Amino acid sequence: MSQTPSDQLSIPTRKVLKVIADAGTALLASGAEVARVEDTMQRLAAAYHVEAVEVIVLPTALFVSAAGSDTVIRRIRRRAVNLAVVAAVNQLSRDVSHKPVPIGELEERLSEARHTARYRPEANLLFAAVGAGAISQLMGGVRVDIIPALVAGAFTQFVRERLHRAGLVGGVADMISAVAAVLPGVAAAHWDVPHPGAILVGGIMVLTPGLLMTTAVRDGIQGDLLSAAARILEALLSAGAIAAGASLPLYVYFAMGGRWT
Amino acid sequence: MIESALLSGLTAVAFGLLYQVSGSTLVVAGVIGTVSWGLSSLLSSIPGSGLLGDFVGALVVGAMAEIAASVRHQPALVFVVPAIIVFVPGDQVYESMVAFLKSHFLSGMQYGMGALMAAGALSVGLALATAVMRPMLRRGKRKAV
Repeated sequence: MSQTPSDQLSIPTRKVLKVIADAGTALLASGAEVARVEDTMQRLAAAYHVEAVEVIVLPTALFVSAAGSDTVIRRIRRRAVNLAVVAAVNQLSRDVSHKPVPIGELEERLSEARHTARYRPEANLLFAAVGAGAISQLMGGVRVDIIPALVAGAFTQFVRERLHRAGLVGGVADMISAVAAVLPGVAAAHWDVPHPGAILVGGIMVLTPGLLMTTAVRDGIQGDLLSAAARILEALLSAGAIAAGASLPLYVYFAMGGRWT
Repeated sequence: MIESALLSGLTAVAFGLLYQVSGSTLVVAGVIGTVSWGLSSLLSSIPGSGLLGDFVGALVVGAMAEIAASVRHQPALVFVVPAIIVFVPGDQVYESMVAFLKSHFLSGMQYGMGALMAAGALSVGLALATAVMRPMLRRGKRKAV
């Protein structure tokens, strides 16, 4: 293997590329835009004096290659929304480009950033409940609606987290979670709550692919058309799955002759 | 209206927490959620304003998020995503779903189209805000340096 300038700095290029790819993978899997992922990877490469780096980021894969050296390819299969990871990796790359640290330390801090500031699963239930409760009030619900909406939010998040832990992601998980989101609303309708719709929307909103829509728009402006198109498609599929899942309990309830205002 | 704006801020904070945002970033996201919803509902109360409220709401979210991102050196996504959730036309999607289930296809289509249009207005608002604000903020920074 020929000696590249970075070898003289006693950092093997391959190792640097791997760490860069790890950083990119963490960002992409947490829902960052393509431009940000490419930016961060380029910035890290420049900080470690890797020459002529080319980075290609697709929604489901990334490639990083240095001239006369290796290419590292990563496939991203699991995606979840975690803005804490996006913020932490962004901060890390800023710090490092100002003041480079040994590659081993970067690796350590990166793996720290990937598990950063996560709230406990029980806390997430509370957040989802409050979100659903507030939404139910905004969507024209009356005060009483807040209680079933809180239940709906927490229950939806509980089901989604269980499914995620069981390895079930994507459309099927969305569909099953949406079934869970609707059940408290249907139960409330059965017991004569004035606006069961507001409760329903509160529960479903916990599942909204809001991040996908936002990143799709931002990718589109940046000219990352492939990623924008893929994310719009993913958001539409997810919305379709949620609507299908939410329709099922409602359909059964209507077919049984249940009352609905 | 003030109450609903505050509720919108609370929603932004709750969804921010759900997406693992932490610390003072949440406060900023909450303020963005409150201000944007307040402006949006003010405009929506004008008769015949149509989708103007959604559009301006998204525009305000996008612009404020870009400013916050450039001041605090954080990704704009951290502010946009929690604050935009309240604008998602969930109620229209729901109405459309119920109408279809009751075989009221015409009103189902009407609500569904309304939801799609609202989503379009949100996207255009966000896109415009980002496309205009980012170069402006960058140029301002370069001058300052």
